[in-house]
Amino acid sequence: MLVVALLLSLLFLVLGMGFLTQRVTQYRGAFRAAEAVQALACARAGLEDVRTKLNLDYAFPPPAADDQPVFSYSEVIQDFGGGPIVGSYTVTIDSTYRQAPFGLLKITVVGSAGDPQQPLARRKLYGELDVLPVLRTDPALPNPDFFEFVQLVDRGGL
Amino acid sequence: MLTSFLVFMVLGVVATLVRQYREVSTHSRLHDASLRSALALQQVAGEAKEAVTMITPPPGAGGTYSSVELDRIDPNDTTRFPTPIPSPATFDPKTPLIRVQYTVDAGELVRFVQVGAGVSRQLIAENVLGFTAENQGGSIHLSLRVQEDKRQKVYEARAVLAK
Repeated sequence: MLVVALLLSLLFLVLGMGFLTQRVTQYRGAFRAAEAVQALACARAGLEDVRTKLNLDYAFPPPAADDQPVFSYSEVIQDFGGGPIVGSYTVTIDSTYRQAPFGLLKITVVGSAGDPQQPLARRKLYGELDVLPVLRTDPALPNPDFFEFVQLVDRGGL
Repeated sequence: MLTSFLVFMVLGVVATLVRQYREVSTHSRLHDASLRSALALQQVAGEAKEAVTMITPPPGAGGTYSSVELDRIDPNDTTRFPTPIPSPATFDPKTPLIRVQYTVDAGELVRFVQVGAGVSRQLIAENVLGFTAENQGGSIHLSLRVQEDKRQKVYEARAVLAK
């Protein structure tokens, strides 16, 4: 009888450990999903930030050498009232195709959830901002897509 | 006798726990699938925002449609920006286009992508009971009804279309 009791105990122990492992995996997956959404929100914040900077500052991004068309900056996002850092974003602006006939800025934003040094999740967005004020086919007419993203792609998690 | 009774009692308790745990796991799995459907709807809304041309539902026609069909810029095309720049320089930022269609097929929301002559199929959501799209002029209203265990859930999303 003792052997049976021990075998049953062992069976229940294995069963219980299996259930617990399954739950841990589920909870971990749920946390990962929440962190991925947080990273996406940070990336979107970066996208709005760069559009605001471009809108308010004519000389943004600051001009560099001709062979340096890429400008990059990073900012952290704090909780309300100067609370802890909840995320960050890194914006990269590629001005290679800024001039006509392209008139596009290639913008890449990587949003990170949590501490920027040890991000919990990262998400990359890529956009092409139309910065040509006139139509490409007829420079006498205004461009209806001026300062709009002609393409915005979610490149997913990193 | 007493020992056998105790053993069977323990077995009964464990069996009950296992059955209840299985029910909870099944419910969690179906709930996760339902939440993935909500994310899928956000994907449809996100892609609708990227539409260069919204084919279905058409603008100004009113009514609800059971699919979304649109043309968008091919995000994977690597030849959009020619180097060196050709002369005379011409460039249309809204090319090349791919055709994307979201529709319900046998209880699944699927995404068809047509690039050239090839069409690829991608599963977006499962246990779908209904999918509707309505073009409200400038924006598109999406609704997705899914079966979650014993209940039905309806997710809705709105996407502002590009000019």
